[in-house]
Amino acid sequence: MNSGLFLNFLIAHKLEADPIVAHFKMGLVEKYPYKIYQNKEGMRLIISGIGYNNAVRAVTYVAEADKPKSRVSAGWINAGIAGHKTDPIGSLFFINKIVYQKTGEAYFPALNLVNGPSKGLITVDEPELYYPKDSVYDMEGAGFFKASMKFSSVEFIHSIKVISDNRADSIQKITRNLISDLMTKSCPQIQTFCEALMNQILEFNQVASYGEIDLGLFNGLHFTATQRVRFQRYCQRYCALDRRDELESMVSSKWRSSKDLLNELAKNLE
Amino acid sequence: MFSAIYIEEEVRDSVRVQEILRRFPAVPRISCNRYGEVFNRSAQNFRLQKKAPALILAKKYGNLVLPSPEGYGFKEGSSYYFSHMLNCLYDCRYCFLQGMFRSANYVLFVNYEDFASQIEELIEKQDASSIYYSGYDCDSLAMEPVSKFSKFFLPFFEKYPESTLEIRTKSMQIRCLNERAAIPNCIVAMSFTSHESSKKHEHKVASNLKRIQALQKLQGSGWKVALRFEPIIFEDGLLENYRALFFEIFSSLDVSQIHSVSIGEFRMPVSFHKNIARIYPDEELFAREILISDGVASLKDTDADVIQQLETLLFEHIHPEQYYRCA
Repeated sequence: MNSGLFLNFLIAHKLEADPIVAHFKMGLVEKYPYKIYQNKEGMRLIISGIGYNNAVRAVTYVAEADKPKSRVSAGWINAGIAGHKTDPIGSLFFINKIVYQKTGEAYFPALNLVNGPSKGLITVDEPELYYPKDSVYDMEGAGFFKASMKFSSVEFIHSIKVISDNRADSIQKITRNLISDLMTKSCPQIQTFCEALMNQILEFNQVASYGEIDLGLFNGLHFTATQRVRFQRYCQRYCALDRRDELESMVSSKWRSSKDLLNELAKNLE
Repeated sequence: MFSAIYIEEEVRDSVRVQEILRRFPAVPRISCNRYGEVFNRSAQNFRLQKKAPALILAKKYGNLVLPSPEGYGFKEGSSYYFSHMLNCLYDCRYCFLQGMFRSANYVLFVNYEDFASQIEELIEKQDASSIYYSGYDCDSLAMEPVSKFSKFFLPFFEKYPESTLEIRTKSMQIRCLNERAAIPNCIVAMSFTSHESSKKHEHKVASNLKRIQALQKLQGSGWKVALRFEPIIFEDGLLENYRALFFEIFSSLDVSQIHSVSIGEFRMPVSFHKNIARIYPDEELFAREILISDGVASLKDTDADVIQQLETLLFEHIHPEQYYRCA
């Protein structure tokens, strides 16, 4: 992920994705192996294909590709249509628990930013026609959440589902127009949630990069991975102790080695 | 009050859980098998969760009552602690819980009867005059309207007058105590830091003045009270700040009736310190130089001399026999 991108949508099907792409004014940036769209506001959308494994692969593809480029945390939203035994078509739910029916594995998205109704989600490998439990049924949620947790904090990973079928209006009645209509109508609510989530991510990333100084400033000095961590922690401590001026003065001096610099930073803190 | 309530399936039907759920009809309820599924997972952030924590209602297994850590408490001999709850309503920046737990969600263990029976076993088989500390992993009273902790445990300890219960708190939730007769073997221990430290580090906590007023009411109702000055964190004018606090407190209370007074420096396991510094990299307290001894971190600027000077100030008000230093 480049530093300007911090919210990823994972959508199973292009018909679900199109209204979100249009609403958030995203443009196609990659066609293969996944269609990927993004906009200038830091949002990106990947079309994963249907099913648990496709969701895992798509999340992993995007996150792994981003790894070398950025240290910032990203948000993840899985949005799409789903079934429920009785809830009316068009109802939107934030997901508060995800169970993969095949294995029983369970995930618990945080609800700290949610200001709408929430329900549990059961991810199935075959379309569910009877909806036995009072849960929403989909085919990607568990794979999406499992994979996203490897790359982000649980507070940044969410599923939003719009009811497209129930016992009265079965899955066979779903049409292209219905999907488009349901997703389009959900976009304002999704947008409100995205804004809250992006604010939280922004705040988190600001804290995570607190006091950071670009190591590129030290031409010719080599830092090992451990030294990089030590250096950034020293920088944070100087800033937290309101000694940024001292830090900047030390950093701008000429150093023979990274070890010398780190020793001096440490000594000066004692 | 809570962003969600997670309920272990095993306790879902318990009377205590049902009562709690009735208080919060609008909060989403989510079932789980074991509280660790939500509380102990690795990819979560304490700082973010602290803004809107969830409540987890669970059953605690295993050893529910444990020997107190060395140096914890006011008396030599057997002492134990028990935690009916993990995490605290307050947000004190110096608190070790931030580094001990991955999650800021509150876990309330609702099987009070199991705690009681293990305490009973200890009292009957080992030592009737032992001490039981509550409030090590939480504030004992802060969640009283939800937990009904004291409503259950005070009558329990009333049956064992030789044993002592210490309730450690910073809370104003004392109605539950004042509404009933005082129990001689229960001590309400209120924690304080200087006004300056409190303003800087103790978020969402009642002011020192309010805490003093609460102690006055408790003393007035016959409850034994104790004072815990900790953690001591070096600040400009520390001695003068504490001199003022000591004066304020001891001129408001009946000093002869104070059960005990303690002072404790800021300290925590190094691993907790590291965890907190990671989630609060911008926090001045965790940027200070630390001393590490036997895996415990303390502040270099708040050394034994500082503590000794505070003790000298303290002894202007109390009898040395009322005092102990936290190890």
